[in-house]
Amino acid sequence: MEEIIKLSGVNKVFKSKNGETNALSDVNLSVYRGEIIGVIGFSGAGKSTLVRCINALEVPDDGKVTVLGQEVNELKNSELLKLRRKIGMIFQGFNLLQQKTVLKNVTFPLEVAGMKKKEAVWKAVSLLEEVGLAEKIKAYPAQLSGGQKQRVAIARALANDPEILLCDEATSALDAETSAQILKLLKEINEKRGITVVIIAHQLSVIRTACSRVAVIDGGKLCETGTVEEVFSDPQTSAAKRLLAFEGDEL
Amino acid sequence: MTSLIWQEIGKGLWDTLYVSVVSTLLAYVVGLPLGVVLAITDKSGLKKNFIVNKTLGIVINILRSIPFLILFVLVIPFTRLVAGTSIGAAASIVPLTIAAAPFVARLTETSLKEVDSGVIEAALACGTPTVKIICKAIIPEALPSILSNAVIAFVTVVGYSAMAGFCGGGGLGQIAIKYGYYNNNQTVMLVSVAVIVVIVQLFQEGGLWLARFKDKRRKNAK
Repeated sequence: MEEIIKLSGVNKVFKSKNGETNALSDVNLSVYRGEIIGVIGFSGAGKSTLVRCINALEVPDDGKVTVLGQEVNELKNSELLKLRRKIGMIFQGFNLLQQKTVLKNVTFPLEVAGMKKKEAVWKAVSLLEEVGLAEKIKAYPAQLSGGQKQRVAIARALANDPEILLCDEATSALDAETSAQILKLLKEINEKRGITVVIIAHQLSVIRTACSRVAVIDGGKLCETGTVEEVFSDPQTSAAKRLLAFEGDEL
Repeated sequence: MTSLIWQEIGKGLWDTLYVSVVSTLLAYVVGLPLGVVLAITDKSGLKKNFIVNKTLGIVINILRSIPFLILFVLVIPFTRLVAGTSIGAAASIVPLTIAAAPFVARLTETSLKEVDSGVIEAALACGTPTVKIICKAIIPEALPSILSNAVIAFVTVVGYSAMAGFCGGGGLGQIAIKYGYYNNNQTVMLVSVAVIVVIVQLFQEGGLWLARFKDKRRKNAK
C-alpha cells in the first residue's frame, strides 16, 4: 500500500509565558492511499497540531513530514502552494467567507489556482450538486444551517480535486443527526473519488462510524494505532481505555 | 442675513464638501495600504514582522498625536510645494490628508484584524498566495467594517476642515470665523454650524446604511 502521508519523528513545542507544551513528541504515523483514518484524543492532546503539520499550517520543530512523495517543510513557497491545492481541509467552525455567496466560496480556490471564471462556476455548481446543495448557490453562509455550511466547506475543499481531505473536528459543532449525514457524505466521497481522508475527532462515535483505522493521541504522543475494531474492542494503552470509558457520557 | 451671505454659505458648503471628500479619499489611498501592512505584520498576522510593525506604528502614533492646527502650520512649506499656496480650500487638502491618513491606517488595521482567523486559515489551506488572501479574502470580509470606519474618518475630516478655516483654509469653518466670530454675527455662525451638523448627519446615516446593506452576515441578505 502506498504511504500518501508519512510523519516520522515529528516534534512540536509551543512556548508561552506559562512554559512549554509538548504539542507533539516523536510522532510517527503512516496514512495509506484511499483509507479513512481517524485521529482521536482528548482536547489539547495535539490532534489539531498533528493534522496542521500535514499541510504545513504548522511547522514542526524537527522530524519529517512527507506528503504525496514531497517533504513538506523543504518545499519552496510556490511548491507548497501547489501541494496545498492537493490537500483539501474542512474545519469545526466551517470557516466560510461570510461576505461571499455559496457559489463564490466554492469558486474561490479554483480562481486562486488560475481557473477561468466561467469554468470555475461550472465546476463549483457540479461540486455543490455532489454535496446536495445545488439549490443554495446564491445564498450567503449566514442563511444556511450548520450542516449546510459544512457541505459548502466540503465542496470548497474538493474544488481542486485533492488527493487528501483533512477534517479537523468537522462534525463537532453539529448535532448527532447532521453529524451522521456529514460523515456519510465523507464516506461516499472517499469511495467515489478514492480520496484519502484524515478525520480528527474527540468523539468515539465519529471514528466508529466513518473510519477504518484509528490513531490514539495523548499528551502529544501517538500511543496506539490499529483498525477501529482492534483498538475499540481491545485497547492496549491507558489513553485508549480512558477514551472508551468516556464514550458512555457523550452518547 | 443678506443674499450675499447666503451665497457665501453656499460656496462654503461646496468647499467643505469637496475638500472633505477629496481629503478622505486621498487619506484612504495612503492609509489603507498602511493599515494592511500594520494588520499583517502584527504578531498574529499573516507575515509577522516586528520591526516593520513597530516602526510604522511609532511613525503613525507621532503623526496622530500632533494636534491638527499645529500640524497644519508645520506642513505649510510642504503645502506650498504641492498646492502652490497655503491659503484657501484646495490647499487645505494637503494638511487634511496628512492628518487623516494615519488615522485611516489605524481604522483599517482594526477592521482587518476583526476578520475571523479561521477564514484566513481556510484560504491558506487551499494554497492561496499572501497577496490574494489580502485582496480576495481579508479586505472583502472586512468591507462592512471598513465602510463604517470610513464614515468616522470622513466626519473627523469635516471637523478638521472647519478648524482649518481658522488659519486660511476655506469652507464653512472660515465663514463661521470670518462673519460669525470676527464680525460678531451670531446668525451666520449658527447657520454655518447647522450646515456642518447636517452634513455630518447625512453622511453618518448614509454610510451606516451602506455598510449594513453590504454586510452579508444578515439573514435576509441579497
